[in-house]
Amino acid sequence: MLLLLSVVGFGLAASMPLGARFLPRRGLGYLAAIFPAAVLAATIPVTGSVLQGVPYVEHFAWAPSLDLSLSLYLDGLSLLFVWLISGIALVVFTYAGIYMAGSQYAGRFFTYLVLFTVSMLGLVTAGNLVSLFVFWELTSITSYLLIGFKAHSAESRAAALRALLVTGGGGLALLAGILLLGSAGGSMELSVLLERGDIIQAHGSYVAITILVLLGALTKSAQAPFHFWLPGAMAAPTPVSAFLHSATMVKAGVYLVARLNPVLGGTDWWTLPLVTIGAFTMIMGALRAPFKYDLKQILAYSTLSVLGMLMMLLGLGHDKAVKAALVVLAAHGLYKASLFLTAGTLDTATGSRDVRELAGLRGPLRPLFITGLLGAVSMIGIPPLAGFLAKETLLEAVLSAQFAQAVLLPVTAVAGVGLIVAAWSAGVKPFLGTPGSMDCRPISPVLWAAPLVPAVFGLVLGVFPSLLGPLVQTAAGNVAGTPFEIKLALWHGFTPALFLSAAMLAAGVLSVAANPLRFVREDALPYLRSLHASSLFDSGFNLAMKLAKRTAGLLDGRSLSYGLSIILLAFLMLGGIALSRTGLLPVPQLTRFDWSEAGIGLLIVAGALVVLFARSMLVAAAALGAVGFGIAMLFFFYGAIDLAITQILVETLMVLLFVLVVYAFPQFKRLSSGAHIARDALIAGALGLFITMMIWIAGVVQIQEPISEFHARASVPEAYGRNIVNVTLVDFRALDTFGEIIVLMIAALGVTALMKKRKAA
Amino acid sequence: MIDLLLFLPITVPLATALLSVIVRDRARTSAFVGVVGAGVLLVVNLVLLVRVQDLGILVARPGNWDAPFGITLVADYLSAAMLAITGLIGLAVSVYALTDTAERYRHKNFFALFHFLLMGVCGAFLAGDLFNLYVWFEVMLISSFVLLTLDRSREQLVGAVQYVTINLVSSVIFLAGLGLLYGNTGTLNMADLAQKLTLSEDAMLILSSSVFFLIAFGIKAGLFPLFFWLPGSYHTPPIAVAALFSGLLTKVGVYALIRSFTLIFTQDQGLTGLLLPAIAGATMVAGVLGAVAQSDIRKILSFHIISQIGYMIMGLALMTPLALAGSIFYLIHHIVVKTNLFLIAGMIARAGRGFHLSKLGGLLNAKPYLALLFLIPAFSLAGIPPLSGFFSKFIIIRAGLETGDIALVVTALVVGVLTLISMTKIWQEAFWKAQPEHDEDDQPKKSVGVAQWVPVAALAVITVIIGIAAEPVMNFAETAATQLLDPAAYIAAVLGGQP
Repeated sequence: MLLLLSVVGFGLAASMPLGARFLPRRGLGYLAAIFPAAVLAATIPVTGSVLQGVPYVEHFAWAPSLDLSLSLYLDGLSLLFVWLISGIALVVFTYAGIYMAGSQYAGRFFTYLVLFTVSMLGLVTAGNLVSLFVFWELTSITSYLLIGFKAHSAESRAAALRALLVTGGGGLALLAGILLLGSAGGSMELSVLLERGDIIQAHGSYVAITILVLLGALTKSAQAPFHFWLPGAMAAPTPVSAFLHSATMVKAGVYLVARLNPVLGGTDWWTLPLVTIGAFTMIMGALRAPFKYDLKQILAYSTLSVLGMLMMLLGLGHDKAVKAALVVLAAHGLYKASLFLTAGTLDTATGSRDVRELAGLRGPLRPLFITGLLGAVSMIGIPPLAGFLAKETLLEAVLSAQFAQAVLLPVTAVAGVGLIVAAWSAGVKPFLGTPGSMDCRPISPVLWAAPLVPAVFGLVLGVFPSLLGPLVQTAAGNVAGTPFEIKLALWHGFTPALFLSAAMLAAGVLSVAANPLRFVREDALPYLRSLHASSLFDSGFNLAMKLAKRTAGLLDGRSLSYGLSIILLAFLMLGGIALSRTGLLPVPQLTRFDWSEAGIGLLIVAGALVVLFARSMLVAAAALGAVGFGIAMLFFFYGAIDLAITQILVETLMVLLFVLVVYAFPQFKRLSSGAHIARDALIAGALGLFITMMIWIAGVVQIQEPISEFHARASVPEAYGRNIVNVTLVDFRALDTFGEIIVLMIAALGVTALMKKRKAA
Repeated sequence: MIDLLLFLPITVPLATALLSVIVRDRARTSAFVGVVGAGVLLVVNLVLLVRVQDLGILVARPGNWDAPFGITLVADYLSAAMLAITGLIGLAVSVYALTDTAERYRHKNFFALFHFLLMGVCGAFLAGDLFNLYVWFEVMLISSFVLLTLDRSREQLVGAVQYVTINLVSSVIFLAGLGLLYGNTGTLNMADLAQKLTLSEDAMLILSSSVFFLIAFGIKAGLFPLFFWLPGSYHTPPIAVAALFSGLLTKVGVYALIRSFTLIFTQDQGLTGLLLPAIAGATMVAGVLGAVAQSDIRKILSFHIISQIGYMIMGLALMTPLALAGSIFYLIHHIVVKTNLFLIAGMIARAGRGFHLSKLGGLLNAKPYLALLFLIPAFSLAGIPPLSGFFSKFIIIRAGLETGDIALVVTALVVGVLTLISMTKIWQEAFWKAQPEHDEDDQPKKSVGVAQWVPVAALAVITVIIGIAAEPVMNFAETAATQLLDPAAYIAAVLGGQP
């Protein structure tokens, strides 16, 4: 099933550019929308049993030796996400077909969008942690491509990269976490791991697992201090912001936390980071949203706030908190999608997203006003919309929190007030007041009808919360690990939560009346701005780049002698380490001393020294010849006549050739400074010493008869040759000789090419 | 018949090279010979791969001298896999080169040198004798040197002198190590060496000479801090040549390291356990830091070779079955992806104005399919699932977690992020950014040839397939790793006797 989903989805994604070519521009959205519609339809047959608490499980092996399978695990939690994703995808695709109709690259846009949808659906239904990770990374990549869709703008590109690095970096932490989790739990299959929470929590790597998994989840869901990529991601076309960066992708982290709550949850390592970071993000987003004047920025910061709220609730983890998390999740998905799309339509109609300019649009855009109003009222939390339900359950959850209630309650209340102001600015304010001077183009009905759909859903679910009940009930059981009873009702009676809610509403009205936008100064507090997480990230990034440039300067082959010195030093160092491990070196016995041998040795050394100090190539060549002949003499002394003869022949030829070639060459120039030469001499000397020691050892250790003894024995009877050197070259080791002949041939080819160039020039 | 099969990976490129010299005056025949020869080599190597899987380790004895007295050619799983992938790269690059490289350098014996290089590479993968390995290294070195200097421009000569000098130093160190080892053990055959060293009490002492091989092969492989020749020279030759080098040359070094440190120098795990992890980590970091600072696509890619080699050595350093399988998976993946990226860089340079990112832009809209073809290997290199590079990293990181080498795992993960940065840098600059204004003296745009699209697309498809078919590839890599970690079968196959 999951495989089918992926294949069909990827196929459809690939067909989008073709669709763009052959279909009318506006049709592409409908074509893409087939996919989420099909997914929704496909869930119908299994819905009944899933709501009964029986997860729908399928297994499809992909790479068993890597513990990777395309298992499908569809329980209540997954189903809630699947419905939310495909439902909003349906709306967004339809909307985007019209929104993007003017773009030349609509085909590419839909390819990315469908790819993303497949990945997101795969993520929330994957029954195997490795395949979950595969889909997780794919959502980051498609999000990157979509944020950077307006690629000509440098700002878009930078925002895309920031988002990718934050989520991608978190993804790598998650990968390590998953690997550890898999080995602690003995399986990568979710169905197995969900049963083994106790074993894993008792395991030595539990803390590491928790930290790594949370890093992945918190970066993906834009929690402070990783939140900054999300407002930047608003550079994407608005349908993308609505879909990825509000309703779906950013909730992947929330999904992961909810998913693994039965496995990892319940300890301080889990609860404390989630509650503190979540609560902080919640209030930070809610306090900043009212001071933004770009519609999309208002909505982005309020999304941050809600994401923080969700993390906090999941961290609290008691029954009411889990219930609240799921209701907030559903309600937020619905109202935020409609508000974002409303913002997109306002932008299309007027060319502006600035709430300071937008006013009085209730006349020309009346249907859109209804959408905005429904969305905003739900976000504010006024009955009978789903948002009210969400806010009530939230407050109840915080009121029954087992710890830190004294902090969490005021924080939640203040955040709620901030969100009320944000909702007002984004959903209602542009339509009220006296119309400004701006033009308002006529818009396609789809652009107001599509956002209306989720808004109406929010209304329906608010009026009939029992529709949501069974799903939330099952999902909450999945998150908590054990099923528990849930009641969802619009009216709870006169509870503390209701009074608190009313108080927040009053505070919200006062705040709106105070018009926080008055205080916005574009150039305010630049020194504070540099402390923003995004600036910190950028300076960190730039610092890393600078560091890399510095390092690269050291690594790039600056000069040959530089590279060679480092290589030889490394050789010496490793050699030293190796020698130090062998312990005391054996002292070889000096069995005999022969003056003639010593004399030849001195001759060789002198020859090498002359090469070093020679001013002309001719002298150097002659001195090298002396070295060669010296070696031949040594062979001679040790009785290897044939070797000596060979060596003499080769040396003679070499020196003659060398002299012929270098005859016309200029004298050497001394380019190095004294210090440079001294350094090189030191390295060379040390190296010589090292090699001498190695040979010293070789002289002592001789573990067996060398194979040359065989060669000596077999030369005449088996190879029919009296000169062992010859026989070795042409028989025993003919393949080596053959290889060396090839080397000569290639060199000859190189030389002819060189000559040709000369002639042509 | 088996004997003959083991010679073919050497003789087929030899015959092709010789034929190429003969027909070099005729453009079409020369092209035909160059490509068909590469095709035959691929077929031969694939047959060899199948035979090795069917029959186990294959051994050939040129001249019929028994090991260890003569030279042996050996093909186990690792060798066979490397040969097959060499054949693939040979064919892909030879087709790609038809667009202009082969013709422009036809009279400089482009295809002959190309096939001599392949011959050296194949020989190195088959060598069962250390001195024979040295000979194949020389064949590779001299042919790559000539290929590096095809234009004889100043830039190329500067790069080539660095290249050849440092590699000659590597040869000298290799040879010195060989001499020492022979002096100690009296043999050059790898299997024989392995056996002698296992039985010897003085092994610790002899093993200090393993440093010679670590350095010599490390230079070839581009390890930290021995890699200076690589970024100094890889950006200078024609792109088809650079692609061939990037895919194969350093990997022969990695192969030699894996072979020698799993077969021969296994007695002192303390030494390798001490040195290799540090080298692996430093290589990853140095390579990727070098890469993110560059602005020439070829230089970015060159430094990435180094960084990726670090991952392979990490697998070798951990020395568990899983880690070694990871190294082998990584080798296979990397050769395909890296060659492809170089080939694509050539297409980018033709479609845009050169290799420098400041000159490039707007290619997403101008060449959307090129953009797609770039994304596949680029994301694969950065380890994005479900492409081949993800699985390679996945296995190695998993192996690192299992052995508890946390520092290496963290390094590998962070380097992964930096790799992603440098790949997105190319993407953002060459594909997303608008096309910059150009000066008159910028190089003109050229059309991209059909002969370029085909191999690049094929290699991209293979990258995807390695990801989808991760299971069979992994099974193969695991078997190869098992063979490496239990050299008894290898020794028995070479020296005779029961494993």
